[in-house]
Amino acid sequence: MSEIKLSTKKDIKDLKIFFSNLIRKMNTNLPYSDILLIKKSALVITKDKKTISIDNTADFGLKIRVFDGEMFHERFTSKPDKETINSLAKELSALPTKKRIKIEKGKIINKNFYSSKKNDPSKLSLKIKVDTCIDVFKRLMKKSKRIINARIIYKEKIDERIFVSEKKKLYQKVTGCNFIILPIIITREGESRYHYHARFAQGFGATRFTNTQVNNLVKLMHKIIKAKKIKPGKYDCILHPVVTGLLAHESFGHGMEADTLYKGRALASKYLNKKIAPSYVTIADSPTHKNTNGSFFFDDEGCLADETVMLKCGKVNQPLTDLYSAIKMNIPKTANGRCESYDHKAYARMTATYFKPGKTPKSKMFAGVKNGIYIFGKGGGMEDPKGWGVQLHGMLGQEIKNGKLTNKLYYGVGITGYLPEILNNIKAASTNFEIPGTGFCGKGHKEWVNVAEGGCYLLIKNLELA
Amino acid sequence: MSIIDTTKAILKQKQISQWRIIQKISQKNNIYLTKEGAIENITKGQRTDVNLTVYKKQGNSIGDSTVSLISDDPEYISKKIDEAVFTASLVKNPIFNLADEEKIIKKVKLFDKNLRLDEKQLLKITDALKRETAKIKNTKLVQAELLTNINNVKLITSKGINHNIQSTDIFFEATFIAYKGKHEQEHVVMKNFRRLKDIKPQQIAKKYASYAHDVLNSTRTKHFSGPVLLSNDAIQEFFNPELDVCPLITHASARLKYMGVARYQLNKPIIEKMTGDKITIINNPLIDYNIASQQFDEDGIPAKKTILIKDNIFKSHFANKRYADYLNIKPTGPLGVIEVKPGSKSIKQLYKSSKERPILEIVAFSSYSPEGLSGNFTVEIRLGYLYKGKQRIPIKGGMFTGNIFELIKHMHLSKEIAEFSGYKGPRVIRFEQAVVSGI
Repeated sequence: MSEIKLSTKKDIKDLKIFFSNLIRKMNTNLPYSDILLIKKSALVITKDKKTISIDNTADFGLKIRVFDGEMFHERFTSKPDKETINSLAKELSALPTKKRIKIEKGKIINKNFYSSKKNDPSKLSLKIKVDTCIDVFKRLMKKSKRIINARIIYKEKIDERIFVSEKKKLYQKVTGCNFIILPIIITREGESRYHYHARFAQGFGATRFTNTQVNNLVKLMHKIIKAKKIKPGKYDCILHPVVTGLLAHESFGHGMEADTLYKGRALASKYLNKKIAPSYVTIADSPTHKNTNGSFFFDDEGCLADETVMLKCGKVNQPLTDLYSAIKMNIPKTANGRCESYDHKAYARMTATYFKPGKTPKSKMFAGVKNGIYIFGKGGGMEDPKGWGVQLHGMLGQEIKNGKLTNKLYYGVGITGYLPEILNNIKAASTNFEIPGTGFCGKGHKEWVNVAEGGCYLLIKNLELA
Repeated sequence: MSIIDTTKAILKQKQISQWRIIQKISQKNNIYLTKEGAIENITKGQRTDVNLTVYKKQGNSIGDSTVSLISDDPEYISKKIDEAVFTASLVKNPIFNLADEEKIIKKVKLFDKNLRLDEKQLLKITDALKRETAKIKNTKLVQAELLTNINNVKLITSKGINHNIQSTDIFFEATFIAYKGKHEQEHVVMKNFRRLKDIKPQQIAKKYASYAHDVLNSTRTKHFSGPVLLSNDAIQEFFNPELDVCPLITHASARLKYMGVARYQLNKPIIEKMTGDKITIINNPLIDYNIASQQFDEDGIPAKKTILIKDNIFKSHFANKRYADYLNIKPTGPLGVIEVKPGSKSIKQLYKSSKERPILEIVAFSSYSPEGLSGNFTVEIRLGYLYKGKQRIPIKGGMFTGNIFELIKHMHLSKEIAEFSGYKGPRVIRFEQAVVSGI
């Protein structure tokens, strides 16, 4: 068996040629075909009070996909040797064409892409990485007796992909480091609570956690001990970018995924080019922000990374497409065709999703709130594209009085409501902009891909909290 | 030579005495339907995952590390073993022992011999689903997915464990849209099965299309404080959340106990001052054809039934071999179906309401994701009903919010039981003092 390798530039070049030849053969009979090779590896270090674990996981496989004019047929293997690949291509080549249509247009692109080498974790020893986790753990535990345990998780990822179609010959190597700090405390009533502090960078810089940051986290944990559940009701709120990103992602972004729109499953289809929010509200998605989880140079359907503006100055604008829905809806393909792995099909998926900055400085935004809540901290949510219902949960709330944050903290805060009402209640978008959110997104409860969330701060009136 | 034999030979050559290999081979056949029942995609293939764990004792500690093997090339495997041994040397955990060989006495059925890698078989189900949906007025099926796996898992260890199990699993998803004029609403159903014959297109279409119609006719949820009932998909998710473990179960974990964050204490009540039904929870991985059932855990410990909580008293932890050794208890094998004993009231009694004392029933959440440690949760209502005597009003939206350990203080469970994926127990649960935040 001739195993395929990705070790050198020559290996990559040879593979592109091998795949291109197969594509040419398949395209003599079929309107379109492509090949996606994925090689992923991850180093995961987990440290808590009593144990430590270090594991190295890897995944390697390939899929070949053909379009017969009406539907896609895919074959995949985790044993991507040349014989197996040839046999899968041969099997797919024999499929009948149902309709002749031209899918790929434009110039041939043959390019290799690499993540920044700054703070390249592969140049550091495993011991340094382990010691970094232990050091952060110790500094955190030393600062407070009330923190009964903590988990420090370091995840270093290397993701290599080759995509080849008639017009594309692409290779990318994307690296990333997730660093998660999860301190646990127990309230006087015996309730265990934690705070999830996650960061992402392409390099080892993700693990940089200064003493000031440790102190701030400990102070927050001490407030979390005393935090109460919020009384359900409507509040004037300022949302941190990690929360605005979550709102953009869960409540709007999912409804702009073209596969959902095509099936008539998203209310947004009735509002294309219509205004649903104030003109200073713009929501976009882009895999081009380098230090964000889920960034890439091309998607799993060979579309080069670019920003897609989904809501432009308050108007529903461009959907996020996978190739199938772009063909069926006759709309542009965007860099959002993503699959969990080579054994999954690609869907229209988000990458980094955010509210674009507005014109109000953050300080002015806070100064304008007499009684309100500042919502921050990593939470979760669920989409409702057909009903535009909003569900965000698990965040923290801090009271704002006369423009200033008080010491009153609320734990496990949720946001609910009807999306157009919430968008129309946005009274200001900040000039400040960041994409700090890092996590995973599923389609329903499966098809997990890396994503990021962020944007500007938002001032929203009458937001329903629970 | 197979990848397992090659790996074993190299381990022997390198004189590595403690190891575990888990190989999973999955043959997949997936079909994806889009609107009007058109096929969007058929995906087929086979994937093999091999994970090797090596253990290294160093004085009073033990290190372990797991690596994935993605090639059967001996040179590659040798390098990965060296990497795992080096990594394990950096891990210093309290000593635990690998599981000894233990014969599997009680077998659980996990394999559907009728499932084939043939899309025609799957198309029969999707065709039936389309036919059944077409019979329902003002309803469309706009999407369906049937993802099937035929799995073979082999687990071998240096202690002589050699388990092999075949299983099948099927993920089913469908979206029904109900319409009236220009107004439309949907309901999405996601289910897991072990056998094809358990997917009943007629029942699924009827039940979930009616949910879509109820969503269409629903009003927005108003603030509510009083008795809240969970039934159908909501009760299943409550005890077996899709993405988490129910906090009632989490705190029975030996790992949490060892970490010092578990709230339960052996032979003590899990909740003080209860007024309703006292809860009994059993971990049962041995229910035939349930998706949560398993034959053995990752250490090779055979599945067994374990009473975790009996009449509100915490009886035992669930534990893998490592944490069982740390707590000096016996390992319990894998976590399986959450079995809850029936309660004292009939469903009829639980649904009792009046205009003065309405009740709210939730049949489907959007996504229930409780916080494992605190038990706090906030979850949106995808579909529910407000009962005021004989009046039944469909509702949607709003948040069911609270803390599980507080809610179960005043709870009643139905006498009638049902089995779902990952949960077997009362059909209905009623929390007497609950809060729903409206919109």
